[in-house]
Order: sequence, then structure tokens, then C-alpha cells
Amino acid sequence: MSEEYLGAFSPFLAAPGKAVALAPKLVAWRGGIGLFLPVLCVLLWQFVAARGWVEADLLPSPLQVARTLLSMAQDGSLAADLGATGQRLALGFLFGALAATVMGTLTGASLRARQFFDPLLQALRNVPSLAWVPLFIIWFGIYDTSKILLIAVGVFFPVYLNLMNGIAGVDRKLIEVGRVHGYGRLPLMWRVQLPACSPAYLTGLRGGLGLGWMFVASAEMMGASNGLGFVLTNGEQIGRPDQVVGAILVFAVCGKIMDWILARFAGAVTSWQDTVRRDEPV
Amino acid sequence: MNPALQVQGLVKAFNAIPVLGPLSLTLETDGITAIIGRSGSGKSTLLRCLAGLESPNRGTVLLGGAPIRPEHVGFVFQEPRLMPWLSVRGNVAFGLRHLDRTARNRAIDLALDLVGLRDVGALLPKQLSGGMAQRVALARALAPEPKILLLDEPLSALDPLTRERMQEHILHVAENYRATMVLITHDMDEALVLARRVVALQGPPGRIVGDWDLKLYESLGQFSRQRGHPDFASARAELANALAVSAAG
Repeated sequence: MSEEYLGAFSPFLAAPGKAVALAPKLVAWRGGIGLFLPVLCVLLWQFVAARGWVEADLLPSPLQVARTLLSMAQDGSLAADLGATGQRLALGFLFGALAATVMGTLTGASLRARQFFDPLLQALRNVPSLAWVPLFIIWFGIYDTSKILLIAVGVFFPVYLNLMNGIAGVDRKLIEVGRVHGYGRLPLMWRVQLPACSPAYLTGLRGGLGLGWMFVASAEMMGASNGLGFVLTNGEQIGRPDQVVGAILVFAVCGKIMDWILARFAGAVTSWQDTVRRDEPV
Repeated sequence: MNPALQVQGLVKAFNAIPVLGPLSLTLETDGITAIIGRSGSGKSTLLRCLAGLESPNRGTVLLGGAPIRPEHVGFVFQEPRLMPWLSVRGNVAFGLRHLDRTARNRAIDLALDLVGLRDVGALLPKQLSGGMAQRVALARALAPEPKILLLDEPLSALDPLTRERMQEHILHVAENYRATMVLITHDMDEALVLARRVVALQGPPGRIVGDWDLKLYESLGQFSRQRGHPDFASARAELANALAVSAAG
């Protein structure tokens, strides 16, 4: 392409130095675009509250919610409740993901194991989460064990399903490469099937973490004395919508941050994928 | 010369439908044997039986009189089939898990040198062209130093220019790496350029209908068997005629 030809477009072409300088701004703008809608919602919410279109005891203003959260942060109750919720979630996620990894690997790798275990697990998957609550309370009491188990149940199914389907769906052609190199069942699993299904597994973990947040709220609402779920029910009982909305916001922000971290990790681990565009977290 | 690979009375059927054999074949220790034939003639099934990817219903595959084992066989598939999460070096190392680090690195370097890809060891498969990926697949098959190298239409998915360059790489490997090489191809020209012997299959069920020794043309040297050479043209005509006769018969 001649310089003369390119010259016609010169007003639209950045100098090399400028192109480099613009790139980080562009990236920052692309990353920040995801904040646009939440900020717009908050502004709209503040506008509605300030005009008195909705009564304050039904929907407190964002400023009122912020003041409540600040007050909870100052007296230490927010950190304590967040810590209690985080601990339950972490343990539930760990146990659920671990059990799902074992069962998903087993049923993904072995048709016989799938035929044996999967029908039961699929039936259990369709049990509504709250249906487990009375049974877990009877079996394990109202303390943390029942709550952690409920969260583990929530985490289990997305991880299990994704891993099982991921392993069972590994390209036969890659498995044949392992077989012609003399790989037995375990080396084949370790060197071919698990790496190949890692994107599906990580998707399952992200889904499991999302459900973990939902289940931790349910678990804490069924009779806890601390945690964000308790803040929700407590706010309802004492007529403090600002506390309820504040807890909801903390759930949303913490859930988003943890999903972002997991998505960044998944993106780094599966950067080998030849996709049109990497599923970058926004 | 001792026979390297002996196929005796090989029969393969899928769901009771015979696709191959009975077929017997003896392959010598070095040089390329091309197996040609139409789709469904059992070429790939034969190769998969040799590699242990399919179990024959009857017959044996022996190497030097003993049953063939996976470590004896290198296999290059129609597609590169590289592990997308491994680098080029990682892929070449795929069949070298029993070696220590030093021996493994040496084997990787040797194999990448043979296919002319020493400088791209850190790249991922998604960063390679089709021809480069197929050369990595060739290096992966060569790295464990197999006694038999099986090539299942490895050039069929490549464009004509890349295909010619790959043919040169395969000839280079055949000259520098003494192994029994079996090449499946549809392409008569490719068989003539690369092979010392051409075996024609017809089926199903696949049976040998022709077996031509091309050593007659060896005095010309492998690389001089270029398209356009008078001897190449006459060899091709002879092969095509023989194939047509056997197909008609």
C-alpha cells in the first residue's frame, strides 16, 4: 500500500507513539463500561427517593443505605457478619467442589459409574434447595454444620455436571493420541482428559460459587445469629429496610468480586484456548 | 534383510461387517511403503490395527517375530491432533514421559531439528500454521524413536505448496531416521514421490490388489523423482494402469 494512498487517511491514522498511548485508555474504558449501568441505577434510585415517589420505609435512599453500612462498618458488625458468611461459604464451597470433583471425574471417566450414580444425582439435583433445610436441621442441628452442608449441596451440582460432561466429551482424537503413546487409564486422565476439560470445570466452579452465595443467604436466613443472611432477616423483623438493602448490596458486591477473581484465574489457566475472543471478566 | 513388520492373516469387521482382510504383508526395515486405495478400502483400518487402536478379529502383527507394542509405533494422524494446552515442546515431549529431563530435552531438540522447528518450541498450537502443526505432530511421533512410523494421510488437509514442503520434510526424515515408515495416501503422485514400495488395497473388505517395488527408480535419487521427470511420468502411468487393471479385475 503506497504512502500516497495512506496519506488520504492521515487524519484518521494515529502516529505510532500515540497509538501506544491510547491503548491503556481504551482498555480502561472497556473495563469501566460495566460500571455504567450500576451507577445509572444508583443515580436513578437516589432521584426517585429524593422526590419522595416511594416511601422511605419501603425503599430507603442510597445515601441512607450508605450511612447504615458505614455505621455497621464502624461498630465492627459488618466485618463480623461478613466474616461469618465468608467462612460458611468457603467451607461449603470447598466440600461441595471437592465432592463434585471426585464424583464428576468418576462418572465422566467411567460409563459404568455414570450409569450407577448419575440417575440418583440427577434426581437429587431437582430437589429445591429449601427442601433440604428441615432435614439438615433434624440431622445436624441448627448450627453451622447444617448451613455448610446446604451450601455444599448448592455448589456440588454445577461443578459435578460440568466436570462430568467435560470429561465425557473430551475429543476422542486426543485420547487416541494418548493411546498410541501407550498411556494407560490414569495417565490418560491426568495428561489428556483433565486438562482438556479444564474450561468446563472452571465454568462449573464459577456457577457453583454463584449458587454458593445464594445458598449461604438461604442457610443463614433459616436460623443464624450472625452473617449477612441474619442481617437480612433481622432488618425485616425490626423494620429496617436500609439494613436489608445494605446486606443485599454487600452480597452483590462480594459475589461479583469473587466471581471476577475466579474468572481472571480461569482466563489465565485456559489462555491456550483458540477462541475468537477470550471470556475476559468485565 | 530381516523382515521388520509382519502382518499375518489380519481380519477386521465392525458390527459383523468385514472391512479388512484377510490380509498378509511383510514390510522391510527402512524406507517408506505407501498404501493407496479408494475410500473404504480399509487403508486406515489397517494402520489403526498396526498401531493398536483397533483390535483385529483375527490375525497377528509381529515386529521381528514378537507381538508389536505401543512403544514401537509412532503415529501421525490426518490432523495434527496437538494438545492445545501444551507448547510445541510440551507436545513433542508427550511420548517421552519415561525419560529423565536431560534425555527428554535432547530427544525434543533432535525431533524438532528433524522437522526444522527448533525455534518455535515455546509457541502454543493455536499460534501455528497448518503445515507447522503437522510438522510438530511428525516430531512428536519421531521423538520416542519408534521402530515403525505410521502416517495416516498426514498431508491431505494441507494446501498444495505446504504439501510439497511437507513431502520434503518426510523424505528428509526417511533419509535421516531409519525406521519402517508406512504412508496412507489417496494421491498416486505423492506415493511415487515418497515411497520405495506401493501397496494398493481394494475393498471392502480391504485386500491387497497390487504391490509395486519402486527401487527401480532409486538410481535417480529420491529427490529427483519430481513431477515432470520422464521416469516419474512413466512410473505413474505404469502404476495407474496397474491400478485400473486390478480395479477392473
